[in-house]
Amino acid sequence: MENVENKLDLLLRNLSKQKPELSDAEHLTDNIINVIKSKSRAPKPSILIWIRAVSGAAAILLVGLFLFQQNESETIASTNKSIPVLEKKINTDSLCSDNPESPAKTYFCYMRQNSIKNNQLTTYSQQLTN
Amino acid sequence: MDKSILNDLIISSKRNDDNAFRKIVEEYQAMVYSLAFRILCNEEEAKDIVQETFIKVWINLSCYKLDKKFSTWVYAIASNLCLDRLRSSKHRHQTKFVDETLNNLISSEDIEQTFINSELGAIILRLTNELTPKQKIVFTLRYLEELEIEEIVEITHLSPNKIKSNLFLARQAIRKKLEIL
Repeated sequence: MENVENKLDLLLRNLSKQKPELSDAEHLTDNIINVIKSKSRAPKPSILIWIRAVSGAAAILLVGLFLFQQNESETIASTNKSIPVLEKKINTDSLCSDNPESPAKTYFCYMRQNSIKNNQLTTYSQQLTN
Repeated sequence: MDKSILNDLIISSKRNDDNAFRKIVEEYQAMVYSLAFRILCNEEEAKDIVQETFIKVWINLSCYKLDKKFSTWVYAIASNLCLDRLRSSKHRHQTKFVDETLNNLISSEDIEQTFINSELGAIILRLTNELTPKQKIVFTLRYLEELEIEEIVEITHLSPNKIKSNLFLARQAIRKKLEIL
């Protein structure tokens, strides 16, 4: 086992000393230089960098607005959901008619109705206890 | 080549001076050829890799930072191209039995004989043909190009542990071959 390990080390040492010979190196260099002369290495115009940065920022802004809008519409939807229920309750429970031109009057009407109902309820409960 | 001279040549090359770039190619093409030949074991393919490497170097020279070691950067480009070549169907194996030459390398402590490329390629191929492309790259960089692990980390972007495990597996595979000899 150790013998094989020594053999391997010796082999690797000897192999690393053996450098492959590059024949016709000058021709290869000429080829490379000819190729790179035809290769364009135009620097990136700064306007493109600006456009990239601005469009990136705009994209982030749009995503942000979209998320904000989504959140807003959800809040509005949940508010809208509670309104019809309330309206329904008012319409069925109260004797007051909705008056969109003077909501204050409607409000006071409801209050009055409520106080009458409360009084009635108190009297009723007193009668029950007696 | 002196670091300051090399930096001047790189700066000139960045300004599209192809004479400066020619000097860089002349300085480093033997190094790239040596790596490519030892990995691919084929002269023509190694020459293709040299050409492709320097074209990439020219195109991406603006990305090179002068505080980094230039040879490491060139090695990284070349070894990536070799890795792609090993994985592609374009790669051609040279098959030639070289047991006698291999025995010379194992038995002699201080070998003076210089092998011709075809013999050398055949020996390396005989030893490494069962290694995975990654093992082959790491093995060549460490044992044949004699680079330090830290430099191989920079070239391959593999972790030191990954490199060590690749080297261990490569050595194990080659040791098995030597046992048969």
